[in-house]
Amino acid sequence: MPDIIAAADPTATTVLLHDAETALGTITRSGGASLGPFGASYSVGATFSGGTVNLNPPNVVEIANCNLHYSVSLNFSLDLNSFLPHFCLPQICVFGICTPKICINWPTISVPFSFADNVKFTADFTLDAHLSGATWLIDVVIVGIPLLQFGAATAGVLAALGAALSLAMLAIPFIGPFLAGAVAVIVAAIGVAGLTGFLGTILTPFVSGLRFNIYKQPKKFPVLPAGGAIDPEVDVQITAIAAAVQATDKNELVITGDIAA
Amino acid sequence: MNTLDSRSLGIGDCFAVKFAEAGSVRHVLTFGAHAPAQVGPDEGFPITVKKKGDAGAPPKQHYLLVKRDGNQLIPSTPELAIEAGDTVLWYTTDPAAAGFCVAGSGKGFSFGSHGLRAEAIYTHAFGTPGTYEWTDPLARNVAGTVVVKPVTPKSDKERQAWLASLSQGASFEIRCGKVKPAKVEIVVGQTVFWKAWDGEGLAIVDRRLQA
Repeated sequence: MPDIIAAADPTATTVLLHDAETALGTITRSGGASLGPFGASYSVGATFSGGTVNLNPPNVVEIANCNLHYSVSLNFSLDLNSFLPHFCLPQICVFGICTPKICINWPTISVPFSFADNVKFTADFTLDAHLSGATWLIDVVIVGIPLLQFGAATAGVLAALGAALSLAMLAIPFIGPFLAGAVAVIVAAIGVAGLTGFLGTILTPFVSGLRFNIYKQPKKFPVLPAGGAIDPEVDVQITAIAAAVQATDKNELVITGDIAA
Repeated sequence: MNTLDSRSLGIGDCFAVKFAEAGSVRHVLTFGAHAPAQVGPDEGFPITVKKKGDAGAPPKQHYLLVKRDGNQLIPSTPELAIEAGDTVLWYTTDPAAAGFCVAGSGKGFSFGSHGLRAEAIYTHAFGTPGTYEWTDPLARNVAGTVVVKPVTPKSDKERQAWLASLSQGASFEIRCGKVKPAKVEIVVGQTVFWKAWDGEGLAIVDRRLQA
């Protein structure tokens, strides 16, 4: 029989989850990934919010419809010669002088682009109670890697990316008559699949191994405050903590602990 | 990039001079708008202008493609031999050479893209739509306007029509300090020629670059 027993129903556990999401704050990562046929460097920040907890005995904590908010700053460069037709200024003769035919090499451009969105996911978590230094922690740890479903918003992101491309190319001499076609070709080359793949690559690490701390308890637990100089505080040591999902009259997250004086 | 400035020649710009008299000429290629007023006999690259062999033969045109080699700009033919009446035209296709100036001297005369004199021509292909007001920085009354209209082809046929239109150029002539016409209208990608018939040397510069 454990010395301490505490229980939380799904509603209370959901509150604990939301507190844990707030405590987790913003997580950032940066690196490089493929954006369709292009390479892109990125930095991304992500926060978690919402979601509801379902407790499934024996030890599964399902978090449903958790929001992953992300904001991405990416920069990709592309050699426009790969997308634009070969272009030459023809020879022109005026005043008896003829200019040479001059062929234009399109430049390689660098396109910075930022966007933010939200993706929901549902995943199973397992419980992990452990001692960290002088503190007992109970975490829920994701099991497996959930599928992040990027919806219709990716089409909007692609359209915005096309606008950023147009802006980056607008100042390039002679490109005007080719601009619309080039943007369409580049956006098509990236495609929804390319953008989804990019987002999957950069966002999956945020949920892979995701861990929310839902309970924290110092190992030393005061049971009586100090009454004076000769009446010191009385503490007990929590020697063990365990957490499990149990089915009683309803499913509950049950935390048990053992103490020693 | 693609700025209208005869002192700083880029891709799509040309500078041409007709050498009417036989003699020895030397020219230098410099970065930026600063070029020497005179080129010494040991400086730069030689152009030997021989007397015309066949008086009835039409004059020739010689192209000097300017490229960058390390920190130097070099013409495609470092030692050029031409005949009196021939024209030499400088241009580049090398982005690393863009922004160069041509200057040269012969016996009793000098020439340069920073100072167009008699029989000198500057050309510029306009790559971006807009209204370009140009002047000579030293003679503000020598001025004109180029209106460059945008082109947005909606079909391959329209694009081909635009490409065909690029063979048509517009021109300004500058004679006795007068510019004719005062304004030309072109579409993006077309080339404008400036020909100086006389004068002490003028530059063709976008007014915005002089502000």
